[in-house]
Amino acid sequence: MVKKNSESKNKKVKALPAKKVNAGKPSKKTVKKAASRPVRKKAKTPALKKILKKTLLPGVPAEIPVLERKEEKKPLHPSHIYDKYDTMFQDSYGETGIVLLPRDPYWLFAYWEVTPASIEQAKKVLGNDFNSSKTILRVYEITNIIFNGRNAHSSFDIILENLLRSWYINVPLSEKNWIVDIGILAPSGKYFLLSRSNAVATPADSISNTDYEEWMDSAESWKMYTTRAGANSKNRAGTCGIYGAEDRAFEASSAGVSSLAGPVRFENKASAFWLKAGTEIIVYGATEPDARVTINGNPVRLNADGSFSTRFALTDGLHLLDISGRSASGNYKKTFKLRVTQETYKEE
Amino acid sequence: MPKGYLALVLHAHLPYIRHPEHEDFLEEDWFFEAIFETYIPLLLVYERLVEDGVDFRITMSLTPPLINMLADPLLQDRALKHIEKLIQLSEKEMRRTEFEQHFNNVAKMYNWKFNEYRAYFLKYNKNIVNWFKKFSDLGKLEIITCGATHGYLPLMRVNEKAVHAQIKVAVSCHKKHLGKQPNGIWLPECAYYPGVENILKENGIKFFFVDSHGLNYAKPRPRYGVFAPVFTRNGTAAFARDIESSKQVWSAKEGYPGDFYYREFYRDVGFDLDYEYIKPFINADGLRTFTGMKYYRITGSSDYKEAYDPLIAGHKAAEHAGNFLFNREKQVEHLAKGMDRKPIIVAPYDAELYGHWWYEGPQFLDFFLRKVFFDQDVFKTITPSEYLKEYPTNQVCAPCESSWGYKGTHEVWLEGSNDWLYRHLHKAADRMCGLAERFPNAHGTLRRALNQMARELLLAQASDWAFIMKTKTNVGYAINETKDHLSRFTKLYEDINNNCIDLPWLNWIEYKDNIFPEIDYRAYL
Repeated sequence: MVKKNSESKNKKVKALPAKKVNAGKPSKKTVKKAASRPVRKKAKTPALKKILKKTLLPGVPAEIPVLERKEEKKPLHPSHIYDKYDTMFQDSYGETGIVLLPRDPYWLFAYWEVTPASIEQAKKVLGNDFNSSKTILRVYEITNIIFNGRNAHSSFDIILENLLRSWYINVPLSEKNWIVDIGILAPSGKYFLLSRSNAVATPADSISNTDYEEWMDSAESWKMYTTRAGANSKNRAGTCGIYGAEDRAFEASSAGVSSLAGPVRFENKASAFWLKAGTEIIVYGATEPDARVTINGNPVRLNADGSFSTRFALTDGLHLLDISGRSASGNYKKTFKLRVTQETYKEE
Repeated sequence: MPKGYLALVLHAHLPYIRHPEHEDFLEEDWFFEAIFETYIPLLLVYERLVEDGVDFRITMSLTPPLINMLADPLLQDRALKHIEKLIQLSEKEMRRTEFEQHFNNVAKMYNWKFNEYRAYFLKYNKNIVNWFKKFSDLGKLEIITCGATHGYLPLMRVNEKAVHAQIKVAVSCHKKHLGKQPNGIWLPECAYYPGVENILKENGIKFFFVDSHGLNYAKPRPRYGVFAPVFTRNGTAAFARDIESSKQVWSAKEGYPGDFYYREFYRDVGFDLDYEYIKPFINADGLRTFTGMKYYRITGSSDYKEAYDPLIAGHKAAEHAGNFLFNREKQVEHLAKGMDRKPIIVAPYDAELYGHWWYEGPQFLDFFLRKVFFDQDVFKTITPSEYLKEYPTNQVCAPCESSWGYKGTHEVWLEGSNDWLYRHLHKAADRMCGLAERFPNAHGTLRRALNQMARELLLAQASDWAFIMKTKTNVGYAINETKDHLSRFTKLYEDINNNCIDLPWLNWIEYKDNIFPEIDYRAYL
């Protein structure tokens, strides 16, 4: 034993760099000196010294605990150095402009950006009027016309609070074309246009009255089809009502990532107070690593060291557990029989 | 001779979520759940129908992000790990539930199924796109495409080049992975705007789908409503969703999936069991998550839940399949009376409804398709391509702008929680087009940077982020994803403008956001 110990010690000491241990030398003194001096030299760095003092018995090398300490911290993925680039999200772009999107038959959405330079320009043009002026959205209805800024069918203004960057616009009619200005309106009626949006069309909100019918043969545009039937125009027959009793899908229609929002869900109303309890029984033990163990006839997986652990959900009543082990050779067998009873009483 | 047709359309989509920088990432689970709860169970249904000589037709859209994830080696390995962990859990569960026969049966069912799924996953070399392709090659499945990253096209149209790139990149992805040009498209969120058909046509797409009011409000009024496709002015066909068949499956109140004997989705062992016991099978950070092992049936509308019985649930699925069949027969018989052609009933669903949400969904489809084939002659299942082949002459109409979201408008994707997105997405699209124009023939590192810009823009455009912000689930993740992609886009844009591309970073970001390895930024020209 003693021999073994000293050997392992020597090994570890050897592992330290710049160390000379000569096991062959008989003098006790020289061995001590040789062993201690280099350690001290090495321990010049203060961190190591501290650790040595705190955690180590004298003479036991310092490396292993130091390494273990470092390992405690889970290393970050190397790519984390690039995380800083994921904050380059811009809030604004330094350009004056307005964009219009249709949302449904009666609602438009506009977003815009106005730069300080544009405001300065407005100040110049409007002069003293600027201070009492208001930022507005001017909404033009431009269905079937080439808009030049003055020929809209109609228009209306929306006065904007400061600092707004977008707005939902309610329009009175569906199936129309719209364009929106953002501008500054002075009480005198003087108007400074900051930017004009793209034109958008809103969709229909009901079944069309148009029943003119045109039919098209796809044989030309659809090279994949061989049958050719002449384009034919037909007269309307019957009422349109029979096809599709409802004209729009029910509103419960699901959409999007179904994995995130399921169509079937019952609202679970939680009662004022709730308590859940369950019991499980853990059966554990150990045997020779190559033995075979069964519980109620079912094989149990053994860990490398021969230990095992398994658990059962426990219900009320009597449960029998037959735990038996058989040696690898099959010559030896041991069995434990367990009786487990659970009774639950509920107090209201 | 059948009197009419039914086109079942399953829309399979997930946003591109891939985080190589984390070992275990919560949102990646959506993908693994979809594989092992929906895609493989559905493919097994097809597999067995083919084995038994049952003729059937289904249309499925496999979106480009989904295809890219299914074909990604990192995610494939993680998916394998996921199912192997589930097998391990189910083994532990079989023992734990030994005293509770009713739960034990369910645990055994899971163990058996998980092992089967794993075997098939490995049979197709972890890439089940090839399994889908098999049924497409057999003519049973028509696979169509979608927007490149499921971008919401009507809200992107202020720069039509961005819409164009969504379609062009999608079609080339489809060709790469499925080996053929897609005939049709599932417009992201079924969102149509007048004019998008021209971009579809340029990219060789011959039909798309709209929601019911997309055709019912069309101009002129379509003679056969939603029960026959119409041609848009350029000859691209539009099929519309049937309301009745949708409602029977989708509706939370009347729909089949709400039956009390079907499996309850929200009771999962991930939340129910002892923390120390379940810890290895939930999120690595220790957050309780769904594991996929669920023991209860819906039972009723209260908290009280009873044990799930797969046998009774199976009978219910058969009963519902019979009911669905009966209703379609009556519907077709009624419609066929007034039409000069066979009506087509278009029934689209999110694929993930089948299996993931409605656990018995794949079984329902199996029963239904068998009944269609063996039990009646009133109608047949069909793909849109086949229908257009039979009826090449159709009415010309201009469909109405629409989506399949709440109220049928763009409201879900354009409202208080998510409208701030569009300012940035539009700006990024404009910048992308500007650079593409400035460097129409870039080479080397510049080309790589431009291609990566295109990837980041496409990823930021996914409609899923806006949808998540609206539904208030995982909002933080959706906002971060959008901002991260836009940040990376902006850095690339500035680096290119300053003529100093950060190559080590580009290497990393190419690896991280590796959707569409084959992308060509000139899609934005």
